Amino acid sequence: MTEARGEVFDIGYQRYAGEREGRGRAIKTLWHNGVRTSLGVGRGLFAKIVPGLTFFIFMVPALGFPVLSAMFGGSDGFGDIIPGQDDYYSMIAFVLILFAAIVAPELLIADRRSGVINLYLVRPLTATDYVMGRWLAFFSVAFAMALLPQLTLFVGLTLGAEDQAQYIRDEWLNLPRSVAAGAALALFAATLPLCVSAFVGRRAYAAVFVIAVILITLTVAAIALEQASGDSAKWYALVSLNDYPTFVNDLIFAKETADFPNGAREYARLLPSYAVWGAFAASVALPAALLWERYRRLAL
Amino acid sequence: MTTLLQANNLTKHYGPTVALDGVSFEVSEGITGLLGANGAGKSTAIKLFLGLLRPTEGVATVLGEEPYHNVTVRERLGYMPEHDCLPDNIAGSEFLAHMAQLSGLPPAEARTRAADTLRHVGLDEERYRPIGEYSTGMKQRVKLAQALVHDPVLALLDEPTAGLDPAGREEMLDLIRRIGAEFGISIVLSTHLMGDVERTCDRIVVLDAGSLMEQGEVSGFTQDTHTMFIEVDDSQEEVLAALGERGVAAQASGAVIVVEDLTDEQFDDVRDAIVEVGARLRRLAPRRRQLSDIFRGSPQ
Repeated sequence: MTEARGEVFDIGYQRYAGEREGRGRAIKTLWHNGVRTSLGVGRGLFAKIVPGLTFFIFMVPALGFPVLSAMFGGSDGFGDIIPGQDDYYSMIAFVLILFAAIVAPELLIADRRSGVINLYLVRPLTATDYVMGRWLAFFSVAFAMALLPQLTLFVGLTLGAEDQAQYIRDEWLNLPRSVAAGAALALFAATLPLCVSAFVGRRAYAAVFVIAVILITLTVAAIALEQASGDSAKWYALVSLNDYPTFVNDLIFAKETADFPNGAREYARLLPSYAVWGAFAASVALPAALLWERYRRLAL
Repeated sequence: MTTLLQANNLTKHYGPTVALDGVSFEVSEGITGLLGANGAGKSTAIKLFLGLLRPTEGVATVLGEEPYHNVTVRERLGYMPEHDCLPDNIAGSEFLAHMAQLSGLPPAEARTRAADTLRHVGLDEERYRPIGEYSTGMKQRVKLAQALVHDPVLALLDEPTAGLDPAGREEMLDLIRRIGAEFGISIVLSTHLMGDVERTCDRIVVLDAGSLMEQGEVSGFTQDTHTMFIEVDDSQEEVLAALGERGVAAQASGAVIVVEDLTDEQFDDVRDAIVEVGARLRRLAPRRRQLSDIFRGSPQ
């Protein structure tokens, strides 16, 4: 009988001779890490609750409306009051922005507070690459969280239709519209909170600031529209920052103007489209520029 | 020997403050100490070599590239900052794999190298624990490991023994010596502690108030001087007298006789004086130059 003997060899330090993928890998890694952080993957239960609950809230109407539509769509008048795809984003916009205000700051503030940013920016990354990677990560999460329920809604409405082929022929345009309007919503939701996070030292402060800005502009716009009269009243709709993605949504879905407008959304439909697009572009471009400039000048 | 770093008339101004003033030096393979008091310009030099700052004048070249204009060169550079830069809520192995990917390594290789590097710095057993639970010494090792995980050609270590107790400091210096000798990774060790440089480095670059003071082999700075120490039992006065008779200028300094500006011819006179007196000799040794001598007579 032979005696088996194991032997452990210390092969010492091994040089790395494999591939180095440079900036592309670095940005992809930042993006991947940012997506995981936003969704709470690899973190405690609490970090998963906010994204999980948000997605659940988004899915309720996406699953519920097709059921309601199938059950009551044929009833006189009732089918008209069940919201469709053109109204879906306006329903979830505030919750998505709330989610962004709470979660997005984690992507930037934690890196600065812990000092990890000092290690990131000595990798093959520029400050612009870093901000772009983080921004893309949160944009991806926000876009997916908005779009997936919207697509679910489309599938549900299709399945609930009497003639499914006819429904797709009639409503197929809602798919590219959903992608475009969802992207606009995610753009808005990702940029403002990340911009605030670039200047604020604590997550809670950033979240409170973003929510306060949204609520204050919402309230001021509501009061101004209540008080205003005449043709110029519609311009007060642009005070309501939170509604910008919805204004763009209504342009994309070509929503009709109301005879007797009520609220910022309906007043905004009276505005020239260039004004809505311009205001929306400014609401994204200005925070994006501030965010970029802040990190470009960041002193380590 | 390959030149890894090159400063050519390197100048950096922060407003009216001159942090580096036309400094020129080279760093080749091996372990090089970057020595200087606080405010000497060490950290500024490191930031210029990492490409985090743009030189006001002159050129900083790393591995033949200007890092400010080409961040890709950083995939072959490692950096260990002095200050805290580690997240608390992530395990050591996960953090290192993330850092390796940020330096351009593909995910599978990054995980393998993370495990190997943690083993080399003595954290094999602790790699799955959150970094927040590590001791100060362990955190310093993680900081060192993240600078090595992507197998750089050159690692820049900023005050790596800061905050360590004497035992931890010894271990860290041993580790740095091993990295240079066994791993084949060249090191620039920025420190204000001359003992660290004497213990660890092959060469030295000394900065003082933004200017280059000296550079060269450490052995060249610590070579024998023309001062001799003589220690005898009981007969110090007689030896001093005998030396005087032979024209050798000597003086007592406590229990030691110090002979300064000793010429080669006077060595025999010293020997003869001791023999003549019949003194029991305890020590006869040239004084070795100390790195601290560099700063004597400096403006600081």
